[in-house]
Amino acid sequence: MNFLKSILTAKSAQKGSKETSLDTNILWEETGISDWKTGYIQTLINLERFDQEVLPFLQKNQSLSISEMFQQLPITNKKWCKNPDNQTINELILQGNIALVKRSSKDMIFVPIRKEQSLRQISVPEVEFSVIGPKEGFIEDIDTNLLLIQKRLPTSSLQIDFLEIGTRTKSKVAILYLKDVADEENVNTMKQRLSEIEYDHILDSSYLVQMIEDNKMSIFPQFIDTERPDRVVAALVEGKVAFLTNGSPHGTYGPVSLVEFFAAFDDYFLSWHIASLFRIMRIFAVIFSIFATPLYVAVITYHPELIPDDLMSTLTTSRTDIPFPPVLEALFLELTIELLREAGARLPTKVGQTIGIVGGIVIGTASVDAGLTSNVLLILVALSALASFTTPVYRMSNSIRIVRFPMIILSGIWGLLSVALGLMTILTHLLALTSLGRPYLAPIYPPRIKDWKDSFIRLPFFTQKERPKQLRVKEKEKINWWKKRDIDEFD
Amino acid sequence: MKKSLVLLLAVVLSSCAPKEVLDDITIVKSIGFDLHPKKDHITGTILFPIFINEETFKINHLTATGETAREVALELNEMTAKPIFAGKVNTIMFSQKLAEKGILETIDTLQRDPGIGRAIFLAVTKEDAKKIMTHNFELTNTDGNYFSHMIEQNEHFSNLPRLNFHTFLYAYYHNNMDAVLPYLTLKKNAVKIKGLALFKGDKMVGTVHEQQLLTFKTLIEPTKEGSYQFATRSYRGNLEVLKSKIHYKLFQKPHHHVLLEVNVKGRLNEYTKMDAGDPKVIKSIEKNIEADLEKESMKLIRKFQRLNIDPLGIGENVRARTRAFNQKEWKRDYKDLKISVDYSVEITEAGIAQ
Repeated sequence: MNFLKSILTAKSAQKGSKETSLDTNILWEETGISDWKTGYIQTLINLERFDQEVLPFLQKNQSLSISEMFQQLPITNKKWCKNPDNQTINELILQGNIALVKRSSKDMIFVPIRKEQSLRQISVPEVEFSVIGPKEGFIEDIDTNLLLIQKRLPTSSLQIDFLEIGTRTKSKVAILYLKDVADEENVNTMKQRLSEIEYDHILDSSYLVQMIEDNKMSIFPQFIDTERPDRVVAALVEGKVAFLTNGSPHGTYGPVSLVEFFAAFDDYFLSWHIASLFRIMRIFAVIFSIFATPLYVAVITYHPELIPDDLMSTLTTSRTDIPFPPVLEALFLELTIELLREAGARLPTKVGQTIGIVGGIVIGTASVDAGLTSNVLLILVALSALASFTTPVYRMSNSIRIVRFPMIILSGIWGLLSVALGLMTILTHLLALTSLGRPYLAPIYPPRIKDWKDSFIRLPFFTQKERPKQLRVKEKEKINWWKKRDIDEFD
Repeated sequence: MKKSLVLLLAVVLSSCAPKEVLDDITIVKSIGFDLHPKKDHITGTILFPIFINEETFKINHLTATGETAREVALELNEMTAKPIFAGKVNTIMFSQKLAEKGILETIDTLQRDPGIGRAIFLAVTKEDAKKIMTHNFELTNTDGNYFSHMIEQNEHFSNLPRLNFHTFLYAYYHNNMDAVLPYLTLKKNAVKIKGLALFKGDKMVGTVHEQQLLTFKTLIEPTKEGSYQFATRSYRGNLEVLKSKIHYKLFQKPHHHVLLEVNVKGRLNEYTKMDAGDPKVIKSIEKNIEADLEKESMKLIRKFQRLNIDPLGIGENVRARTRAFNQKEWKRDYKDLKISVDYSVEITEAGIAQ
């Protein structure tokens, strides 16, 4: 009992003491020059620069008082604190400042001589790779990422607001939007949601995406995160709001609608015919991917009359030796494919490829030979897995693969009836879903036929005269370069 | 939360729908019904494929007897390893003997089954349906689709009018129409269309000869296919029908008179003389064909009137064009109604030779 009590008192004592002590990592050193003392954390400081820039100045001007020193020290961004408390000292030193103290005074000068972290090179975006078009991808440093965007948008209307999120990680987050284009409601919603986040660690923008989604229980992503700075710029210009997080190689933007998840950014680099074809193909692939296996299960189990005469023998003979009902067969194969994908994702690239080939060919043919699955289903499952990977946004392609499983189980229970039921559930859910408060299914519902020009098809640029309606932008028209001018009108 | 719980319970507590997994059913392709010597009994024969591997499968048949179609089905079910599944039935055949006694009971059972499609084919056979179905069509009926494909292709590319279960039921339940079905017979190694079986109610009362099929087809529906063989003393030929349309004209005064105007456009496919390039010759051929067709169609209509049946749906067409149509009067007067047919034939081409 006494022991317990002592723990409790110790805890309450800890809670009660508001006075924070100085960080024990801080190294306090005498400089040996006059009576100047320094305090810093070694790992955060570029000591070489300190030795070359600050110490010689101190040496030369030994007689200066602390305030004169602050004024004359040839380093920008230094801070002068009168009798700072322990917390500010800790904070400033942890940010990479060196504290200069004169023994006689309690005031401090904080000199920012941060050690520059060597950054990862700007590399080619891996997930959203495109054959033509820019090959720059975001890296983990927010300043570089902002540079990548600002470089592409040299306009004064680009507004960048900074936030600090994460009670412990203090991650720097930048909210970006075009002042004269983006709808204020969107901007404010984004800002409010981000600033309301109370979480101790934010290590990646994915944390934030999941925390600010409109419907956090939904399986469908409500923001697009991309590793392409050009995609973020395009979104900003369209009137969307984006944010970057320090430490995350992704830019995130919203509000988005469902069809945007099936638009790859290369679509804008290709001619509009090809881009439109690809987009329609992708949407078809998604529908196929969700419904192929459930329909197979439903038809084989409950509605054999729907099978065409010519397929009858193929389907029947492919199933005769299989001991499982079609649902289990389908689930088994789907799980196998998911296992292959997961194993491939967890392993290094080279091993992953081998796993994919070995798994795909060996397990596939072996399971057919062993009479565990029918070869028709194998084709369907492989095709629908392939089709799900055509979705350009990784988050969405995952959702689509997961949605398939409840559909398969449903189709095993009530056949086509439940496939229809599942479809209705998905549709109603999508209808109810919003992204930053804007309808998720737009421009299909609510119907915005003008916005169809850049949705599941992409018409040529000269038709894209207006920004999407659902964003409620301030400046509706895009720049009117399509207006014809005579040759002598040019300067 | 509550809602999703209710939804979950709805799924979990209600059981699965009855399963009909593809490889666990006997997929019946054709059904045949015959009259059984025992009073009020019918014999049912089913054809179903047995799949051995993807390329080879054999057609098996089973026969059972009972008072109704349902009873026959039960009897048959007692003989098969897997439950009988009627969803893929594509032809149902009735023997002429049964058809003459009436097929109402059988049809009634079939039309109540939601698993049986309405686009399947019904036919009357001259011989026993069992004899035709169990005949060994070595190569032609390997997959159990021979009968249905034969009827279907004849409807689409030849002289047989579009007839199926749906049209049969439509005509059967119609006040001013009577049903017709294809009439089949067994040739040495094939089944042949012998003509049409005419129904009065659910009983077969007569036939239409196969040579009159095209005439019947042009009288019953607009069509885009068919071929007509014609002959006079000096030449013989064949007209391929490209387009045919029928118009009804009613005359109330001085007495009831129904005129059927049929426009036929066709291509001369076969002609035993070489002067078909001459427009005058073409004109005369057209005239001849018109006269032939009119004569034949009048023969058909007289026959229908004599049997007091209306397979062409003349009554329905008249009703649709008459205000205050009197059903009873029509029925009474139909036999003696003046019906005439006016064909106009146009030969648009005479083959690539000319």
